[in-house]
Formats: sequence, C-alpha cells, structure tokens
Amino acid sequence: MKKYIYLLTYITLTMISCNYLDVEPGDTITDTRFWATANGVALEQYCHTYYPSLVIGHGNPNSWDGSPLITADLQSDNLLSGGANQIAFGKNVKNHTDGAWSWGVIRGCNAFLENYMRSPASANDKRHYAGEIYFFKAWDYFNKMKRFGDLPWYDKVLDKNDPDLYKKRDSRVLITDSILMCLDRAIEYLPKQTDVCKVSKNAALLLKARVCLYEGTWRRYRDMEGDEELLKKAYDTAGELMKTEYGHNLYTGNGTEMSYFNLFIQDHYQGNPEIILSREYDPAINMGHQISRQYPMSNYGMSRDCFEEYLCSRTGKPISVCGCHNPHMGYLSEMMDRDRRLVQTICVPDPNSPHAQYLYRKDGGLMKGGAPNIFNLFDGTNERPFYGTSVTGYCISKFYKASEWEGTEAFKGTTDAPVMRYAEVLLIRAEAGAELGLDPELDKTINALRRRVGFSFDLTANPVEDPDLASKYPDIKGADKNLIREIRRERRIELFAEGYRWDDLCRWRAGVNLLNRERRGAIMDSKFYSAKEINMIREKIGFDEDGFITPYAIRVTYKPSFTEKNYLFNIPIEETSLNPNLLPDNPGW
Amino acid sequence: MIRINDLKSNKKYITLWYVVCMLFLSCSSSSDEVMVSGLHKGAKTPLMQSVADYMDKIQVVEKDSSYQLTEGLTITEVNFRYLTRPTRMFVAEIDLDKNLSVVTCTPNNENIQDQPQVMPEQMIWAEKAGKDICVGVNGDFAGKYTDKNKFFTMNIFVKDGQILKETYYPGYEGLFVVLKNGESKIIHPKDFEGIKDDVLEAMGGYHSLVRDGEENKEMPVDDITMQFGPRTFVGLSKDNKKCFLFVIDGRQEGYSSGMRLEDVATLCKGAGCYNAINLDGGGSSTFVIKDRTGSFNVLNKPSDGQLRPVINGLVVIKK
Repeated sequence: MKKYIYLLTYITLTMISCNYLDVEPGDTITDTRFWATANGVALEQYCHTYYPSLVIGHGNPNSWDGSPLITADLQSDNLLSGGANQIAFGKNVKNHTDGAWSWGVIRGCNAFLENYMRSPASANDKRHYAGEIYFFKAWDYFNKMKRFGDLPWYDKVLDKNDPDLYKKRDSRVLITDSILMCLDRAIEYLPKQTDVCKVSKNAALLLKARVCLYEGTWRRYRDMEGDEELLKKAYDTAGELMKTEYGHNLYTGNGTEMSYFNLFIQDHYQGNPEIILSREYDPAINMGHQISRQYPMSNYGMSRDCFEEYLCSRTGKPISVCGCHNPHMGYLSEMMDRDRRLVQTICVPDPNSPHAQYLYRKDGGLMKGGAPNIFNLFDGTNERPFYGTSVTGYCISKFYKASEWEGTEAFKGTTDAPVMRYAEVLLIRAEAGAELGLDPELDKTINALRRRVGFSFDLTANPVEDPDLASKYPDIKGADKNLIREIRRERRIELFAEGYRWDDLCRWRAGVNLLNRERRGAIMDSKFYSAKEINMIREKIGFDEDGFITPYAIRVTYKPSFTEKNYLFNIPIEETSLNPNLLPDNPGW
Repeated sequence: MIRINDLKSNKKYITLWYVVCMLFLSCSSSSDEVMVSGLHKGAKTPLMQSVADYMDKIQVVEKDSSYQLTEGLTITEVNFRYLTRPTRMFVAEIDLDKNLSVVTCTPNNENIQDQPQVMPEQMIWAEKAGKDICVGVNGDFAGKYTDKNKFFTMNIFVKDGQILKETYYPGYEGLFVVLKNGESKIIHPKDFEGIKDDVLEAMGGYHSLVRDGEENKEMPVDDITMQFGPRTFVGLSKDNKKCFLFVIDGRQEGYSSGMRLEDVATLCKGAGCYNAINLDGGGSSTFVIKDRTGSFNVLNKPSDGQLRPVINGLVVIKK
C-alpha cells in the first residue's frame, strides 16, 4: 500500500510541474508575449515612458519645486537665490548615492533595441520608435557623461549573473563615439518634425550638434585629442539644421519689443518656427505648473556679473567702456539703452514700462509697487508695498505670464516649456565655426539673434577686445579670441535661465576662474529705497567696496572654492563598493 | 531643503474641507458683542487681542472667532492684515491639565516612516490604534533619499515610547517632547540624549522661534525663512501647561500670502509662547479637526490645492 502512496505523490508532483509551473502568469504580460504582440501603439507607449525623465522642461506637473529649466541656472553664476549653491561654490562633498547614477533608461532602451524586430508593427513604425529609443539612450548617456566622465557602456540587457555588472568604466572617447552612433541612427530613422512635443529628426540633429560642441570644447580646453573633428561635426550638423528644408526660424511674432519675452510664455509651440522640442502642460487635465505664481514669491535674482554683459544699444559696446553707462547712474537708468533682451528677462522698476511685470499692481486706482524687496527683509507699507523680491535686486521676468499669477489657484500654469530651440543651433554654428576658424556666418547666427530684439550693431569678424570678457575668459584656443568671447557673451544672454550655463562653464573650463568670484547684486538706488532699508541690507546682507549687494558675504560662512575636480562628480560610494572596478574615481575625489 | 512634492492625494478631503468650512462659518460661537473698532486692531478673541497688541506688523484683525472643540481645547480662526497682506491663521490652544495630550502620529500608525501620508489618513490610523483624537497638524521636515523614492524625518522622532530616529541634522534646533511623567517640553535636540529614557513622544522642528521667552534673533536669512509662505509651528507656555498648534496659510494671493519666519517668532511671543519651534510648512501645512460627527476635516487651504502627504504629525488626544 505504502508504495502506491509514494507513486501517487510522485505523479502528483510531476503533474504539478507539468501543469502549473510552466504556465504563463495570467495577470501580467511576459516579455516574450509583449514583443510578439506589440503593435505600433504599444511601441509608441514604450517610448512615452522616457519623455518625462528626459524632456524635463518645467518639471513634473503639479510640483511646487521651481521649474528645473530655470533653477538649473542657480548652479552657475547666472542666477542667485537665498542660499549659496553648494555645487557652484565647489562645496559639494562626496556623494554616497546619486540619483543620476541610475540605469533604468539605458536598460529599457537596450531591451527595446534587442527585441523590437520581433514586433508585428509595420516596418515604418518600428523604424520610427527605434529612432526615438536611440535618441533617448544617447541623451541619457550624454547627461551621465557630463556628470561622471568615463562610464561603463552597455549595449545589452544585463541579467543578474552577467559579469558585465562588474565591468570597468569605458573612456569618454568611447562613450562619445557610441552616443554619436546612437544619434546618427536616430537621425536616420526619425521623421522630420511634425509634432513639436515629440522627438524628431530635427531634435536628434540638435542633440548631435550639442553633444559635439560640448565634447569638442571639453577636449580642446583640456588638450585632449579629437576636438577638431567633433567641432567640425557640431558646425556641420548645426549647418544642416539651418537649411530651409527644416523650416526653422527665430520667432519674431511680437516685434523687437516683446518677441523674445513672449517666446517663453506660449500655451503651445506647435507651428512656432523656433521651437524644436517642447513639453506640454495643461491644467484642464490636472497637468499644470505654477511658474508664474512662484516667481513673485521667489528670491531669484540675476547676478550683477550677468547683468553687466548685456551690451549698450547706443554704441554697441560693453557698458564698462561705452561711456553712457556706469554703475552709479541709477538703478533704472542703467537698464535703459541696453540690448533689449535685458528688459525682456528682468523686471523693470517703472510702472509705465511694458516690462514692469509683477513689480507693480493697480490698487484703488493707483499703480503701487516699485523696485523689488531684497531678501524679503523690508516690511513695506500700504503706500509702498513690495510685489517682488530678489536677492540681487534684479527680479526675473523671463517665463513669467501675468495672467497666471494673481488670483489664480495652484497649478493652473498652462504655458509649455521650450526644451530645444533654434537659437541654440545658431549659437552652436557660430561658436564651432569661430573655434575652428571657419565662417561663423554671423549674419545668419549672432546677428539674427540681435536683430530679433532690434539691436542695431552687428558683431563683426574681428571685434575689439572687451577687458571684462578678456578677464573672464583669458585662455581661448581658437584663432580669433575676441570673436569667441563675444559669442560666449551672446550665448549667456540668449540662453539665460534655460539651464545651459553650468555645462558651458564646465566645457570651457571656466569654472575655476568664474565661480570663485564674489557673487554680487545691484547697487541700491536711493530713489527706490529708503536710507533705513539700505542700512538694513548693509547690516544684514552686506555691500562690497563699490556698493554692490553681496548676497552671501555676511550670511554664508564660507567662500567659494571651486577647483579642477568640481567639473565632474564622484562615482557614488555605494556603487564603487558594489563594483570596485569602477575605481579609480574621478581625479580629486 | 528637501521637499515632498508631486504626490497624489485624496480629493475627498478637499470637498470635505469646503463643506466643513461652510459649516463652521455658521456655527462658530465667537465673542461677537465686543465691537470697539481700533482697540486691539479689531481683534475680539483674547488670543488675537494679545497677538495684535504685541505685533506691530499686524495692521488690522479683520475677523476672528473661537470655539471650544472639547473641554480644554479652543480653536481660533483668524483673518488679519500683516504687512498689508491678507493672512489666514488657525490656532489650537490646548490646556494640558484637562486630560489632553499632544502626541506624534505616523503614516498607517506604523513605526517605519518612509512613505508619507496625508494628515487625515494618519489620524484615522491613529484612531484605529485606540487614540481619541481631536486635532492634528503636519509635523517635521522630510528628507528624501536621492536615488530612492523613500523619505525620512529630519529630526529625532519618538512615538509611544519607542525611539524611531535618534539623529538630527545640523541647524535643526527644536524638539517637542512629552515625558513619561506626562510633562511636555521643548528642548534642543542635543539635549535628547540625556533624557531619552524618560521620553514618551518626541518630534522635531527646524528653527527655534522662541527660546525661554526670547524671540530668536539669530534666524538665518534664506529662502526658507524669508519667503512669505504657509507655516506650521508649535509652542508651549512658560509653565508648559498650555500648548499651541498654529497653521498659517500662504502662497495664495488675495486669500493669504503667508508669513516670514522672523515674524512668526514675534507672533508666537505675542500669543504667549515661552518656547516655540517651526515645523514643516509650505504645501505640507495642514490643520485638521475631528467634528461632532467623528469625521476629520481639513480647515486650512493647503497651497498645493490638494493635501500633501507628510512624513508625520502632531495630534491632540484625550487621555
């Protein structure tokens, strides 16, 4: 009898293994089944998962945190706020963990590329979405390379026993080549732009030009090989995107007075010739932001250093030498007769100006307000309320839309975020050209940007040296040093608060020179502030010997100490202890 | 500073909040007979009279009323002008001699705090665990691990006699504690080590607002302190027998813009706090009461337009 029981048990166990353990789970889709059935829509949805993490724009909808597009410049010498930025001050310590060292996107892209050919979708769809995946993989690797330098390059999905989990880092030369291979594939596979919110051939071309300029200048200013070739690629790729067949142009729909300002506060960018990729926001479906509600309450301020770079529009010269501007001429006067991008980027303390933005408000038939509060330290009165605040005295207006501020509820901001725009293409063409001694096509590039805001002086091929820029960028490798410096000025001004400055300082190797300077704000003008208010700032915040606000001089106990090592971050300690082959860490860490 | 954001929350509380707001507007039993305008800047409740008299930066108290939620627990709701801006505030005054106690609460009433939860839900879980709750406010600032979707409380934390976190970050200056003998205190977190065996409840705040009767004049000048923002803060009277829980709404032009932290310190002093500390504010600021029907209602108007999940909170319970 006993043996039958054994037999029965044996048979039961065998049956169990036959019937159940090999069955596909009923509640989830297996890998095999997914790829065998994934039609065009499924592939598109697969790609959609990567938009929010890479096409960041103003960040996740319904988030109180400031727009990453704007606040990225806090980590630079462009934009200042209440606290000193640890990274821009070179004070960041070794990271134990780091959100940027995350491989979900790369793994997902590799899984797609290994499997998508099995999908029953049309050849056209497969090609298109593989193009998007190549684009995202390249972008994610580019972001990682900017932060960590050398990286392990992965072309396959790793399983938990794969020895490549413990591989060494590959050199940034290999990483760049691989990124560019992905981008060339994306350019080949993707169609030209039809929907501005979707990745296109145009976006892939811009990303390629951006990567080539970044790495080309990174290597040039560190005496590494391959810079010329990369810069030539940046020059050519930007040139390709400037061809009329791509249909891009600068946005000039509101005249020289408002076009630049209005470019950044549009509800949708479909049909706008300047925008190459944007991120959508729509409060109607609970996907709004609150950029415009946040600005008037934030302490953001343009740095004095950046403020000074906008040229004089009467002479076309820098304000330090134009003869008609000087720092003591008055807060408002100094903003006048400048490259008009200035007043379309910061608020003008004049109730009659179209650029006053949130500094003034109508109250009982009267316009009330004035220059911004400093650090919100002033109480204000009924007669003289403060409607804006800034740590430097220069309140930011770029991206601010008045109708989305007063009286609006949270997260009702509806303006889309311009993530990639044509102006950058022009700046890449000019900079790469000037670095290589090729024609920067100034008339089509820098001077087109100037014409948009009605600036009547053109940049010429041999500009006069600006002592200020020469001290900021003493070591220029290209043939015409002053031309390159002027293009850098143009880039800083045009792309202010769009998250480029940190990358620029790193690739130009200019951080050690520029980020160790004392951060400064405006001179407090007694026409706008009472003696008591000025004294309060002197006591609590501090002025330098020339009378400029020094937002961090008194309150921050340390000075900036940005060194060569700070251009890169360390590999997170948690990762190097899991995989010691990632060592040695970046120099200095 | 790390903020919790972008977390979904429950819409029903917002609807509830509206209903309850309307309800309380009609049933608040204020001392309406005092109508001498100008005196105490128009304030009618003793609490706001004291605050308005002390605080120069308040121009006028437009509307204030108070009601007793239970014996020893008074709720005051106020609209006032501060630095010309409209401001809305809620205060719970707790008489700790009247069988009431102020204790901590956590998401799901659990000892692990890595996923935040909106206050009314935390309070429901605490009730399920047998506590009889009257009022609750959000608690400590939360940090977030950079590469994980997990949170942690910044300061020391003790609940029901169990020490759940023993460390705190530099700059975190205040700790609200309840000792096992029933006494409530506000101490510096560095002094926790010496008394930790006697502590029943502890929750930290960030800045010290009032310390031994003196307003904190050493407040840092930065984005957290100097913006007009929503605030939550807690204070104790000199004899530690009276506790105050405050919530000020903010970031909503025309309704309430919020308050700078140095002025919050003045307000605490004016209200009679001998010690007071600042808790997490911004979109986290939440003021919840349990009404007569036993449901939890959010009285304030969170600035995100919806309730933000928070890492922990303080609740008033009947002993």
